[in-house]
Amino acid sequence: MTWANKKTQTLQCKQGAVRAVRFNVDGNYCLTCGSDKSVKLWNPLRGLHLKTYSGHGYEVLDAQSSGDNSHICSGGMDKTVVLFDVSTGQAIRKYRDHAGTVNCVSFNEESTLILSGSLDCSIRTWDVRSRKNQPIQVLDEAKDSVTFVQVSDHEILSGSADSRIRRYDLRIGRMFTDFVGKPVSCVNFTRDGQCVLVSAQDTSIKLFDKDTGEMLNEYTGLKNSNYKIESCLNQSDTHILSGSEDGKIYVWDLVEAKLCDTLDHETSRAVHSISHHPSQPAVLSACGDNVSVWESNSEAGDVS
Amino acid sequence: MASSCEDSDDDFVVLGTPVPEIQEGVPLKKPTNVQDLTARDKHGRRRFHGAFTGGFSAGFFNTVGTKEGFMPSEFVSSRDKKNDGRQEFRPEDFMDDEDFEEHGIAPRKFATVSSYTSEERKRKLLDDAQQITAKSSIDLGSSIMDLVIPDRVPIGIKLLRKMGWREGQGLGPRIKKKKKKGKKAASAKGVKMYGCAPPPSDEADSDSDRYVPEDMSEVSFAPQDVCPISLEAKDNVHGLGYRGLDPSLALSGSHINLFDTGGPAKSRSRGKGIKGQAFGVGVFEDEDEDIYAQEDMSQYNNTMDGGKSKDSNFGWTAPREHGKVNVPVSYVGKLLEGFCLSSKPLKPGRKFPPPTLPRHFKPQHWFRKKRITSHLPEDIGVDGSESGSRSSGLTAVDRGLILGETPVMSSVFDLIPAHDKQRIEATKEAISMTQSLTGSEAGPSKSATQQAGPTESGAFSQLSEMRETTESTQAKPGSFLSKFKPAEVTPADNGSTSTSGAAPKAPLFQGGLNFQPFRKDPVKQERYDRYLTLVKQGVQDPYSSVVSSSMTEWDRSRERDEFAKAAKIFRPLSAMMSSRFVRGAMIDDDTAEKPMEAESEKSDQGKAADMKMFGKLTREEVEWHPDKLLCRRFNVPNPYPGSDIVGLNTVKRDKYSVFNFLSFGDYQPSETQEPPSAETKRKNETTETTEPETGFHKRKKPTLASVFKVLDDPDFHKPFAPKPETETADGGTTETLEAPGNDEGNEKPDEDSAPDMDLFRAIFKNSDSETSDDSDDDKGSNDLGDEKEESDAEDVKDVTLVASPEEQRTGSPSHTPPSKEAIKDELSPETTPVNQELTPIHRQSESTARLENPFSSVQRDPGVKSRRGRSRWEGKSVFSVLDDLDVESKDTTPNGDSVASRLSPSQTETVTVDENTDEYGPRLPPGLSSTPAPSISASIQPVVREGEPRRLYSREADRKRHKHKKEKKKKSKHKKDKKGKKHKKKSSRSGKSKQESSGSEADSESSDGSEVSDNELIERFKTVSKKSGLTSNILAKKL
Repeated sequence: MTWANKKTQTLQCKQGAVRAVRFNVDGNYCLTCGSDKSVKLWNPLRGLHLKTYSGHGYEVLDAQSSGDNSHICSGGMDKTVVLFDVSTGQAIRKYRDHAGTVNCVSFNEESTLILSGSLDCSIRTWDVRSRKNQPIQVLDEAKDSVTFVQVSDHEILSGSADSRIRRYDLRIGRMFTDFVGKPVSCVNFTRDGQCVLVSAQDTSIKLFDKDTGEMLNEYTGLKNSNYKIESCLNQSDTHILSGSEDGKIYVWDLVEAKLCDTLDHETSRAVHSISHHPSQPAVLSACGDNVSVWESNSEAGDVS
Repeated sequence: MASSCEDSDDDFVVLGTPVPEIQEGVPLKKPTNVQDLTARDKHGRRRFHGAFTGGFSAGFFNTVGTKEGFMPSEFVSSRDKKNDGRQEFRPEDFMDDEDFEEHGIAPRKFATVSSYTSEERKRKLLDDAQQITAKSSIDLGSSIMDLVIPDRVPIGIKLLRKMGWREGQGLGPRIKKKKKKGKKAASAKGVKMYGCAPPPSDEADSDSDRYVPEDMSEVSFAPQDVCPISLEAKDNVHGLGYRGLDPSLALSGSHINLFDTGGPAKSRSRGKGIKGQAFGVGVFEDEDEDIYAQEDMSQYNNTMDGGKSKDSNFGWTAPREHGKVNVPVSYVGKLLEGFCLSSKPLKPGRKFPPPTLPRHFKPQHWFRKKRITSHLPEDIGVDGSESGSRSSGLTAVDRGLILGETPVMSSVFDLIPAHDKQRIEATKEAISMTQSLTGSEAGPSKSATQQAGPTESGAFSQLSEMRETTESTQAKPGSFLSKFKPAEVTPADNGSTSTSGAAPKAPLFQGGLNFQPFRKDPVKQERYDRYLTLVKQGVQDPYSSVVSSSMTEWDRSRERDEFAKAAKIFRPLSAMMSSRFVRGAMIDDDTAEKPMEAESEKSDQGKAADMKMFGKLTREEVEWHPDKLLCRRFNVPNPYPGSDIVGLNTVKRDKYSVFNFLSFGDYQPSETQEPPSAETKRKNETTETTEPETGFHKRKKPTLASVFKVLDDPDFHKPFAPKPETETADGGTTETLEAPGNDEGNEKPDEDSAPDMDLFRAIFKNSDSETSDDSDDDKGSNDLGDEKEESDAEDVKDVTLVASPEEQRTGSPSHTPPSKEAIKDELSPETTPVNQELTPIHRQSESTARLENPFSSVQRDPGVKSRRGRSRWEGKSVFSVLDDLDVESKDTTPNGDSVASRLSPSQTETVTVDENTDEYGPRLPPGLSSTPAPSISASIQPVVREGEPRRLYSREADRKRHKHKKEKKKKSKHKKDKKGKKHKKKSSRSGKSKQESSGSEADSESSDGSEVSDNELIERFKTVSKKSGLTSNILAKKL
């Protein structure tokens, strides 16, 4: 089994509804964003709660840790983007320029920038290094709420509720807009950076060629009609995982688009946020008020 | 006594300090305050000092705190008496004599030495006496001694001794010991004891200290010397059990044992009896906190977990136990402390299912429509007759009318006088008619079609009616107002137009309500009506229930498509408007709204996305300038080093501006209003292929969008069978009926769609590359020919493209020489004479060619042209799409003319520029024109087309035309409009297919209907009214 298929831990987050769960860069820790205005740091594989970060004024919707694990950025319904210091738990910066709920945040690769997508149809880029409170640039090309932002070394990828994904290529200075047809809930680069995985409010997830915008594959079966369901790729780009509104995680083979497995949470609640370990077959999924940790049941065998 | 009486002063005892006598001249002493009083000792020294001066009179003679300080002890050390420094101090060394005084801390008093006390002295005396007696051998006996020596034993003890008491015994009567040993032995014998024996009973224990021999049962013993329990009599007036403040407890000053749990003490205080405070609390009150109570550890928290000291440990938490509380995974929520989830779930309350809805139930309340029309007198009459049956149906206006009041105006239309209203009606009629004519460019008037009677097939009338209604539905305020000018014309015309019976009773903007696209075919129309109602009810597959059994399968499928499209397209303006605005409580009508709504969301990209054709169709790429700092942070060189633009380069037009929407007819996109200079510049480009790019490079998106027109087209899916046939048919007059819709293709093989086709081909992998190549070739040569034909290329461009294919084919020999001329002409547009010379010839030839084989051009190149022109054709009239099958099957004759007819407007317009040409005469009414019978009889025959062959006869019209120079100017202006119209058509091609309500495309779509300008309208009118011979009157009025 190359994908996670066994639930090994359940983190009782005790922070209300868990809005998002994110692995850190090396996959040893994870962050959960709760509706009780807090961000929590966990060791998911051992189920340890390490620290709570508070400083938001309303529900936290997304968080990401920086590449050196020293900072955490988070955005929430209080329209702010907050930068936390990991060790002290203090909020170092609060960026208040968005006019609406911040749906998603992302560091750039060097963690010198924070990009935040918001309900106000814009992505704002914040310079972590300076003390300015104004964004460097506002990418307001979206016509509807920006739901997801991803960053590669020279690209900014955003999904929006206007059914488009936008890719800003900083090297060549162009913006590519692809119409997907349905409001986009999640976009992801594949790990090789050649393709884009798009979750829209549809019964399928689509894999697009990054350069041409053509659809390479389609993964059907899930249910995504109301929520911001996230999808991700596994550590080696061989499988595609997605949450669903029927309380399951769907796992497809990337090439064959065949449904390999469904990880049932035994609940009717939507599994809306998932995050894959960067190097191991382990997945975190947020459902309701707790986070499930899924690992491959043959992992021990692999190690031995 | 007398002396004492005399000296009376001595008799009184004086107590206290006498008040000092008041002496004169001496100021009164201030009374000394209590704090000023100082305690002094007998030496007059101050007894108490302040805290910093030693408290009590400190040190030797109060030297503490003074300059002298404490007197040091002297140090003396000599050879024989060494001072080893370990001088022993006694407390007394640090005391002064005050301390030794009676009230000092170590009072000393004189007392007799013990050797001088009576006891000691008695013993001494005894000893002395014994010594004496022993020497004298006289035994005086103790009794004597006792007598001699006074006994100092207390009398109580003496008495007790007398009673037999001895020291060490208790007081009381003697008691006998009970026998217990035997009992004990018996019990021990009878009961077997296993294991550890219980400890001996306390009775035995208490008795064990005293040895009682077995046989001495009769011996009585003195009681033990224990302090008896004192039963105190209550001798105070306190409450029972009350004890006052015990000074020994309160001021114990002893060690407070904090670690004494004090549990029992508390329970004692809460126990029975009245204890504690002097003033108890009520029964219903809690006892007050005893703030003077001793603290003990029970009042403190024993555990450390409760306190959340956040900052002390920076929020780090220790690892926690897991699995302590096993909450099921499915459970979401907080588990209360001390509670656990019950194993069996709660029994859910009884649920009552919601009532089942009727099948066609819509969760919306539709108010009855009684808005504008209800105020009209006839309606009121109807309402009044109904009022008897249900008075609740009366409106305020109705009641007012019953009472004889003049109705309150609730509509603008009520304010219009009757004859004006009539005029508006007539105008509307005229507009609709003229618009119907514009659609097919050369169509006859409706009245003409009506008069045509039995010969007409009905197809065209359907067409024209459809157009009329669409255009009336899509009539926009701006264009409508501009069309008010010809209103003066209409009253005279009214009689003739009213015969058509098409004058709508409904208010202007509800024109679509009584739209009947298939009026000519009542059965079909009836089916269509039923279809519409079914659609409105939301029935799935509404056509199946409408279809008549007599139809063939093919007819059915065709009609199904027709109906679907008609239902899509002919929606009222109100619905269109309402798609722009948030819907209020009620709208004007809801006719065919539902399919519209469903359809309106679709965009081209949406369609592409639906068809999973992502890629070029769904992709847009624009220049985007990242911020400098953003680039630096991304470690990426700035792609636009010099530019200071940030973000997108272009300024987008606000799609949703109200003004965009309101500028209906008069608004032309800026491209269409390019100055002629630009046009001439463009003309000068010899390569025609570049022209479309230059002209339309901005409109990339619409062309892309138009691909879907092709997809939508039912013909698209048909095999390209007619293709070879058409190849052979070049120049021939053979008429093929097989290719429906090819005529439309011929109409407008405009170059704009060429990229679409390529793209389309690329996408759909169509194999008709050959035909497209052909068409491209045609294009190139045709364009050359076009230019010569129309010197004014401004509006020609589209039209030439339209005209070119058949020109190439029909009159290619005659065209080649003029084409050279045309090039010349292009290079020098001012040379009008050449142009004038050329145009008639060319025109003649073309028209003759067309007359010769009016149908040849139709089927010339169906494969190619249908492909290329489809989008255009859709943009032009959907009805042609809908009904062209009908047209072809039913009336074969006029079919070809439609092609030519599409050419005609541009030609006529170009002619109008050349004022001297005799060719101008398109406005001749059919009645005056003698020759072209087919044009009249053919319902399809457009007005302009009629004029064309009749150019030679149109001198009469020419004469009139001189009167209307103003008109011509307007016309030339209108040419631009027309050109704009063409552009719009192109863009609206997309709009047609998707009928989308969003964005600018809807704008273009809506503006489509208002393409007819005033002048053209008048022109049309002339033709229409000529029939009834009223033209001159009208024109006179107009001018």
